Amino acid sequence: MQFASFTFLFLFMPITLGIYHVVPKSWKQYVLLGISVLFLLGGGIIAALVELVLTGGTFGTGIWLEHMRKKAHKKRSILLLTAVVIIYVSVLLLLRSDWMQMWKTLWLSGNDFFPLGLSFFTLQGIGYCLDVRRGECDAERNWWKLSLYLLFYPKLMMGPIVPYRIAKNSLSDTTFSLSQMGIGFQKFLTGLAKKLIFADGCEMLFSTIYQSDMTTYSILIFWVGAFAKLLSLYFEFSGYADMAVGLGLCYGVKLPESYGKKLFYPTMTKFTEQWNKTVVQWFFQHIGSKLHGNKCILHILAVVLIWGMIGLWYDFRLLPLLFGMFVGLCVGLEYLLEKKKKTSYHAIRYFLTILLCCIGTVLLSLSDWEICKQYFLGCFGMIHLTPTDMDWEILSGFWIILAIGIYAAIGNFGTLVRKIQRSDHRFWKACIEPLQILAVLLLLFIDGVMLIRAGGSAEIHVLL
Amino acid sequence: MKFKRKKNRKNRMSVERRHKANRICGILVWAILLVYGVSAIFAYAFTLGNSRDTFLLKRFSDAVQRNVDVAITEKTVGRDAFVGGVTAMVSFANGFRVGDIYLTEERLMEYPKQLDVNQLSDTANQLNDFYRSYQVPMCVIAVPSASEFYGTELLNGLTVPSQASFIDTFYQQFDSSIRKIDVYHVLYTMTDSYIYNRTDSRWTGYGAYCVYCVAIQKMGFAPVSYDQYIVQHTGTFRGKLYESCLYQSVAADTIDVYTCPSGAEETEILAYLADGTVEERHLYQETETEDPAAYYLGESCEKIVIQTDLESQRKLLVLKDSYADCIVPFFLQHYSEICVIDVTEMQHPLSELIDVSEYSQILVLCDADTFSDVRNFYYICD
Repeated sequence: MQFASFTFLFLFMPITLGIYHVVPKSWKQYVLLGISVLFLLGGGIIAALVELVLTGGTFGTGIWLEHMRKKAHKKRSILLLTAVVIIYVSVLLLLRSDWMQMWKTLWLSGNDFFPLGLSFFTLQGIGYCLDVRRGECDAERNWWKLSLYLLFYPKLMMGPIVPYRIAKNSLSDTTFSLSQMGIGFQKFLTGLAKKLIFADGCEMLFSTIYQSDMTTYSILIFWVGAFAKLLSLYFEFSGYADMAVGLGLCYGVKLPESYGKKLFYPTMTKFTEQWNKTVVQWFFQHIGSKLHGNKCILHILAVVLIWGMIGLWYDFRLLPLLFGMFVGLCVGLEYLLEKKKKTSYHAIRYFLTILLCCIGTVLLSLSDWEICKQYFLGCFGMIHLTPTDMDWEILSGFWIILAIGIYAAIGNFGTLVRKIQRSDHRFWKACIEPLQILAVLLLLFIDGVMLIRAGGSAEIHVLL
Repeated sequence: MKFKRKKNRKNRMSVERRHKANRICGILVWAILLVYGVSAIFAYAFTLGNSRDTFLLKRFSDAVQRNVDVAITEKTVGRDAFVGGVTAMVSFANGFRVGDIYLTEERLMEYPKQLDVNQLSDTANQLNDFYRSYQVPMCVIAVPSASEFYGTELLNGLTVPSQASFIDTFYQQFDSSIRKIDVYHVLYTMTDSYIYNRTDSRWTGYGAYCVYCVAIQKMGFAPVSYDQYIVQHTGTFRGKLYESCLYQSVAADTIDVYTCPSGAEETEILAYLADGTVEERHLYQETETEDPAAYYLGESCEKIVIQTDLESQRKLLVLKDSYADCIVPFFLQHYSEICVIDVTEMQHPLSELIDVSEYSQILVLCDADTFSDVRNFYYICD
């Protein structure tokens, strides 16, 4: 099951929310866990079983690790931790990569088989074990509490990743109010609109370019395509993250934001600080802390290595690895330039950051090396330098979605709403609440229409 | 002090108003979602009638949520207005693509899926194994999508992904004794004729006839010439591509029936349904659905056996998807029995359905997309 689907939006979510709010408070956690397992089962019994078994394993390992920590069995605990990491990573690699493709195709519905949010689940599971071993949190003795932490369905699909010591309290002590549910719905519907309107629209532009004969386009359209894909990825990821935060609020759980309010930043460092924040933080916290050195070159190497891992986490292929290393290199070089106090004009920095992000996006998005090579040849003017008729044909078909997408990615929608809320004008003061209700209903209408047009469920472009 | 109190009161009132608005939003959205969702389920269940059990059990057990979404959405209140509205807006904004469908004035075209080379290779291996186990003469036809022939011309030169090279590679992976029938070039020369439906992804009766002429020669027969057929336009329809976008500018398609007065006729057509029942059918069905494939031989099912009045004792086994439905009637003139197995509907191993060695020839006819999913051919080998 996924959020951007008819079954989820019109059936699963309202029915489960209704049940959740009707049951007594002491039952809520069990009901929430039941709902999460039901959500998992919507993606297939075997897929759900994979995550349930891993949850059971993580529960046992946590207790064991704590026991070893108390008995000061350092070496044994390292061995156990290594085993856990190997198991998690192996499952992830087996299901994410093309290995044993034929077997998976015949027995596990092929490429479609992928336990929901396994990538996030893996990071959370490993993170919990690491925290227990380090003594940053105690091992959980209640199996359902840990299961709820690992399987809580709003954050399963696209994060955010929350350390157990922080999530523990918010999950066990949920506070519900109708007002909070209203805010949650608004957040959820905004995220859904991001996904259905902008992410899917911009994705269409990019796929129209790279899946066709690329020799008919010029440098202009290649960069526009890469930029459209960047927008698509941003809206896809941040849309799902918003949906997660919104759903969390509906269930009375506050989740942190994973993405910044806007896409454009003056430096790659700032961009990476706002891009999938909780995942990047996880890697830097758990792996980066061991790698950082005092020397500049060591620091850059560490950043490149960690971002390489993040790239592999996105997809276990060469091109995402290159994406990660490229982003890491950009961040590292920026660090170097900052040290030498070399600055450039603000507008140029924004422009350069967008160009670098576009290059990274192409590396992350294209699965075929040959297509990627040809795409970059086009990007650097090796195919056509001057705009062709096909360029205008494509642009004329997609300029509206691109223009609105850029406006939304600047973060101006939010600013506009906040300005209206703070306005002292009598008209706005009187109308703000009715307008808010109308806007939410309009958003619901648009989301519903787009979902029905998409045939009931939208395709997830990046399965994590 | 008084001013501060007044300001605090104002702020408190503003926060209360905002809370109230949020509460109303929460209740309204929740109620709308629930009512709309439940009504959609009821609308769907109402139209399902007898096949309700297959919807709930089979589809949910497969965990294919997408199928459930599609099925319910199709019956949702206001669906046509919503979909038509979005398409009209895209068209108004000079857009040419709605989801996976290209909008042109002459026809709707499906955006071709990128074929999976590995899956095509696996399918070829499956079929090679199948051929080696039975050693019955076998022909394979992979049908390309309409956008191969009409894309560039209708989209002002904009190219669409080509399946031609994938089909070539796919053919090269077959054993040399399996005949590969190249329909790409046959159809390419006929693009000026009405060979593909305008509102559906599949070919027309005439398109099927053109392919039949080439295929039957490769299978060792002389084709029945076009002038021996009486062609009747029995109705019009708007196909699946139209249903996905409801784009009004494209003219409806026609259903053509080819009858050969001097030729063989079917004596009995039996359809074997998934629930074990056997249904007697006619070559051409009067269906309520607008699916042209259902007009030929009826709704798709696992196995259909057609007996003809020919005494040649030659039997043909056709492994097909919905593309092949309108070509099957042409083969009636050459075989005494034709067994049609829909690979996309198979739920039992082929050996449980028929004895393959009884057949004198096998024709595997599917579109390229069907071949690029090896699961479709899982039940072919034991």
